[in-house]
Amino acid sequence: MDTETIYSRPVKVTVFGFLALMGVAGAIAAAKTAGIIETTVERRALGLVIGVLVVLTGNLLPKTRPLSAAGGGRARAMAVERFAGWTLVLAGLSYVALFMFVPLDQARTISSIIGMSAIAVVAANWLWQLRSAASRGQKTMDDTDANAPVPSKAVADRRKLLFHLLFAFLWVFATACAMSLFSTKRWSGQLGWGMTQSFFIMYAALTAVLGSRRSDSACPSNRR
Amino acid sequence: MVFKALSDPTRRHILELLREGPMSAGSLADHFNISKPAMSAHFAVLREAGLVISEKHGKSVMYELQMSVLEEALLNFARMFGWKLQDGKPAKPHRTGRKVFNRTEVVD
Repeated sequence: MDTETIYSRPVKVTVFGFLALMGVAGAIAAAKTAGIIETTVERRALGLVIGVLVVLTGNLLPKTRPLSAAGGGRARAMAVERFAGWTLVLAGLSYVALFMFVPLDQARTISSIIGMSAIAVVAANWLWQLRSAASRGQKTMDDTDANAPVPSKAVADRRKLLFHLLFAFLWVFATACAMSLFSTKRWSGQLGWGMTQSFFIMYAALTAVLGSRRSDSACPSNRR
Repeated sequence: MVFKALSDPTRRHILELLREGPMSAGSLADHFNISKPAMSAHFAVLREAGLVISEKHGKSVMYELQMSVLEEALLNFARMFGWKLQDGKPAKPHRTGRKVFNRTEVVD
């Protein structure tokens, strides 16, 4: 079995898992609209679906390796991905437990705080590792990279695509957490609009920064 | 496949070494006192289970970890389970080389 086949299996699981869970979420929303289930049941069920989505994302993150597409060194990226994976899995399991056993109001508040904290910790750890690599003059390389295998174009392209999908998912998740946490505030509408606008700005900035990093990595002088 | 791959202490040690970063087949083999064909068989099992990916790098083959959180949890569990089985028994060296692992598991 070649590397691309081995790599494509978890990618397929991720994509089909996402689509299946989005289908379940759609069915729950449709059932509520049709009057089959009550609002509280709908909210609990959607909370569970979101929790399972976060567990799925976290579980397969170290296997699909999307962050290695962003540079910072292969071993460092692997460490960040393992940390992010464990953090998201624990956050997702907490989410599921909260929406199963805790009163809905408390579950929504606590799960939102847990979700936003998990994303903040993952982002901070990733940025810290990138900064640490850059401060050592290792824009994309580290000690293990000198001998690291270069992934095939197909694998590298899939990792880039998954990196963008991961960013989008985490941003939507953060937005959902913020909206849930501040749903009673008068400015919650503006918050949602602001988060949506920020997504495009952050996405453009991230794409530009990562593009420049990849250009650096393509320069042979950067390889030791 | 994953359970079979994780059931062997040598394969578990290979995965632990790969946690540090990508390594060549030769570098990995240096850590174990077993024949090259046996090492190749271990690599094949790990590859088939989807726990590692390999790429040719010049003349050598480089291995890189590809484990999900659940698979890593299973690996840790297998290690802990192995240690429990070995409780009360003296550990014996598993290999010769730069870094010596102790055979802590009974299940092989």
